[in-house]
Amino acid sequence: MKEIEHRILEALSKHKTSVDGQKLAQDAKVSYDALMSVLSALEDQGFAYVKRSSSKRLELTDEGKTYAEKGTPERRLVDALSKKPVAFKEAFKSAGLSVQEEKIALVWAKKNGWISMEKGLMAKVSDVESETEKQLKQALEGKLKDAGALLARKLAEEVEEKTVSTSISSNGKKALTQESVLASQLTPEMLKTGSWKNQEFRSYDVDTLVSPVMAGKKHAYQEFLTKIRDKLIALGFQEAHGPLVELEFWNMDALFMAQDHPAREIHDVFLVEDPTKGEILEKQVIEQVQKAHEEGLAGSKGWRYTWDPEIALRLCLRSQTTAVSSRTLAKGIKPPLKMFSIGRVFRPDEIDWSHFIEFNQCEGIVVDENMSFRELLGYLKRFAVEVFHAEDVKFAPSYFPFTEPSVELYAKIPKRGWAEVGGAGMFRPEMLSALDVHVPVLAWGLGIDRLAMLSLGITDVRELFSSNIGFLREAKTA
Amino acid sequence: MVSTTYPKELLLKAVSASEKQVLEALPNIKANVEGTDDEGITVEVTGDRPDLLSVFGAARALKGYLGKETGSPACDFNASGIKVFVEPEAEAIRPVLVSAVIRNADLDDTKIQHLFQVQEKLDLTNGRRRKKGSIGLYDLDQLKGPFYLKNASMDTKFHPLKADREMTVKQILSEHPTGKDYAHLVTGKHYPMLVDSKNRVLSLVDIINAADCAVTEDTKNVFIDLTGTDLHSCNATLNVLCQDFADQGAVVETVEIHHKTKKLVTPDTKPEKYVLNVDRVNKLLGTSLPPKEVVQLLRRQRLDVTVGRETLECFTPRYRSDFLHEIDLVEEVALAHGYNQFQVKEPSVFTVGSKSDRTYLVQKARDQLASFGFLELMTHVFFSHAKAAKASAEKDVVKIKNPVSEEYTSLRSLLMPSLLEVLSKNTHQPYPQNVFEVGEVVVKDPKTTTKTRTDVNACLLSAHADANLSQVASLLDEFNRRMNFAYTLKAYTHGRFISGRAAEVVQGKIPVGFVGELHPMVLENYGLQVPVSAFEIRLIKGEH
Repeated sequence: MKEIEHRILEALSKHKTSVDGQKLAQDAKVSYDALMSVLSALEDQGFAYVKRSSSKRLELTDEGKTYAEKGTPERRLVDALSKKPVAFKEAFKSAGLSVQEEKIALVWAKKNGWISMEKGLMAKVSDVESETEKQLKQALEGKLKDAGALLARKLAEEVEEKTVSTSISSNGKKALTQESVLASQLTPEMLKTGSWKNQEFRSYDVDTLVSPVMAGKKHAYQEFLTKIRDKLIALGFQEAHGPLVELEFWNMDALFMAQDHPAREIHDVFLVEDPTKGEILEKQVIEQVQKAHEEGLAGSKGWRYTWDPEIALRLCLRSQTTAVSSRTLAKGIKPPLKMFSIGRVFRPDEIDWSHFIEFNQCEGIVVDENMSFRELLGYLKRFAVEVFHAEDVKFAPSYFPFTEPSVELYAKIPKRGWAEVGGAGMFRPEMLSALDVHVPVLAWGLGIDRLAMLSLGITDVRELFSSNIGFLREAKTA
Repeated sequence: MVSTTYPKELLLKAVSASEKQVLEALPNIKANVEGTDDEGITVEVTGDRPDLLSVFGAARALKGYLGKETGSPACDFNASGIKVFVEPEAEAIRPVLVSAVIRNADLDDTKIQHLFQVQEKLDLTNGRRRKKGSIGLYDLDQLKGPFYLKNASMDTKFHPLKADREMTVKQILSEHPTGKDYAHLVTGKHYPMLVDSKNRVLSLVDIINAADCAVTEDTKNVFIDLTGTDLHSCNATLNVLCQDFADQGAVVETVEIHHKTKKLVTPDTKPEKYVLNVDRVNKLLGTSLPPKEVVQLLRRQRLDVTVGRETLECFTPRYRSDFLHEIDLVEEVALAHGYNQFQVKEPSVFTVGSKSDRTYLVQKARDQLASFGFLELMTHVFFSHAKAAKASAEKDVVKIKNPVSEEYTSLRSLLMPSLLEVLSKNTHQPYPQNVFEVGEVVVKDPKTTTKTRTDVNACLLSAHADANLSQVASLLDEFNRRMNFAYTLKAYTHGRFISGRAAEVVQGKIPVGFVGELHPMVLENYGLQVPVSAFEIRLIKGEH
């Protein structure tokens, strides 16, 4: 007899009457699936009686559960209405319906004869309880019998439940006694007394050896970031950090982004409601930045407008890790310097599989008298090869208000093809001069979420921050 | 980046090159190809190049890049003799007006549609949604100059575009869709309008044009105006439009603009001059291009260049408004050279790399917590303060003024509510659920320059049938020992914990966290049916 068969049979022998499969799996410490296959074997050998049955049961779907709790969309709509006609938009708003719910509410409120509609206006006609609502109520009380209306709207579904009940046979008991001469575990006792010398051990079935282990585990995405960090350190870069709530000054003005630049508009940067304003201790830098914007510095014409210090003081959520670079440079630096920063940035956007409003960026700068555009391309290539094992790279012209020349990096990633890796360039003289830096600075900023997706084989950006414990327990490590 | 579509036939004909050549060259002139079909090529143009929004601008740049035509295109425009008078009351509202006349425009349906597309995109980009300036195009033959910019009264009537009848200014601003969209541009009681010598209305400027002088396929002569607040922006846009017409063979003429105290002649096409040092170009690019080659490259970018003794005198055409500094010419050299034609230079400077102290601590903490058998989570700093209330979290958090979703309205000041959210979504997964996160939180702090602090916290949650205070307090003790944190525990009462089953973690005299058994109320709020014990402590206090 196999070890697992013995274990199950032994657990079964502890029950005087028949026992449910779920309970037995727990007692024998095996998975339910393994139990099912072993039980069949035990049944074939005449060691156990197994009775299988199945029953059907009605259960609310997720949508059904929501409606049972909050009320159906049509109920919420009609509750928000009165006899006085109002515009559709207004009615939906006061009912607090989502766009998807609006359509559902409209169809069913009309079907139920609850509302009248004319010329874009709607009004309440009646609100008698619908069949759907009656059945939802029954379901909540656990007395659901006829669920026709719910099934039709996919608010409930039939769930098939399979049960197994089993008990040990006299042959099974006999076998267990015979088997008891075999030991299932080497014990300290056997070692102490030396009885192991005459002891035979029950053999394991190699197919059922492994069960899931819930050990400690680091997050794959964090480990991916660690890997990038290690590569950059190996390339001679020093790590820096900055705050998540940032002054527009460091996030934009110090980067020579004009105050009417489109990326500063309300749909491109998150503003903080309270507190609203920060402070800038570096008075000299403020003056120089103002000059750079208004009339130009270092031989530039500047943006030629009246720069408003109040806008620069506004607090926003960091929208680019370049803010860390402007802070670093303003502190006063001694070339040569290579600095990098990996951190979260925030930008308003539609939330879908490829966009989220919070993501990670990786920023790097190289400060040295002899830096050139050709060397920037060298860094970018080296980076793509070292970090993403790129097979090839290509460059395209680009534009950022704070770099000139500007470049976009594309890398050919094994098995995935060409991917846009990020933007780079040489910081503009206007920006550097205002921060009292008088040597060339190479800079790049990479959106690493997308690259992490490629590396970890994830197709939805939201899975990077997954809250599914099952997924995380199984996810491959970086 | 702004997306625009070039009529394909028009582009290929204007450049006289194959489709393959054009598609390969476009990304190199800053027009990134998005897609192509039988009719058009859709590109994304970078924000510095509004001239590439039109097919004629793209053709002009491509001809230079491909070496078919170099140097600046001709733009010697004669005077039209037409005058525009800006009345002082109108000038107070829209201080800038520039204008030009186009003769013998050869417009067909494709060109008209494209012209309107370009007009719309220029208003959006250069004009910053018409705030800096907005374009008006009119059929000159329906009108008689001189023209006047003056303030309209609210009951002035004319027939606007996209309407089937005459409307008063008041009606346009409150009923007309375009009127409603742009009414905010002019604040105050008065709205400037452009009229001709017979007092016919051309447009309620910045808002909508009159229907009877609209540009159509039959229009031969076009009157262009831009009104706004920014002369650089308006003149740049006007030059883009005029150069496009000139490239098509039309005749461009200037217009005199008379203000009370000054007179302008527009378009102002005088090129801007930059002095470029070839050594500096080579140093910044890391190249050794001879001056002759630099000149050729700049000419392929449609600049005129004269060679001086040690420097080059470069003249930038006025349809390009993106030049601020010598460095912008260096990029032009790089563009014409071709980014992918540079031989990349290996990193040459030695520096010592290093991990920050902060990362060192964070990584060490993560290593310890994982070694305790816990699963690491990574959640968002964005949070919903409505949700945080479920864990009786701090109410005075940093809130966002312009959230895009009710789920993300503030920044978290604690990790624990985020982790409880995760547990609440995993009640179907096997227990024990032992999880942790080491991550950033943001708290208010009037003493810093950002009035907030980005701290790093460590939080651990243990959810299973036997979870209790003693278990997590022991883990906390071991964690602190490994991290070399001296600490003491102090009795602690907080709504989120069972009374008598929580403690505050204190370092020196400063409270830095807590440990405890979560209150059944909190567990109920998250739909959890197992006990949960937890600790959260501050690892790193932020600066700034």
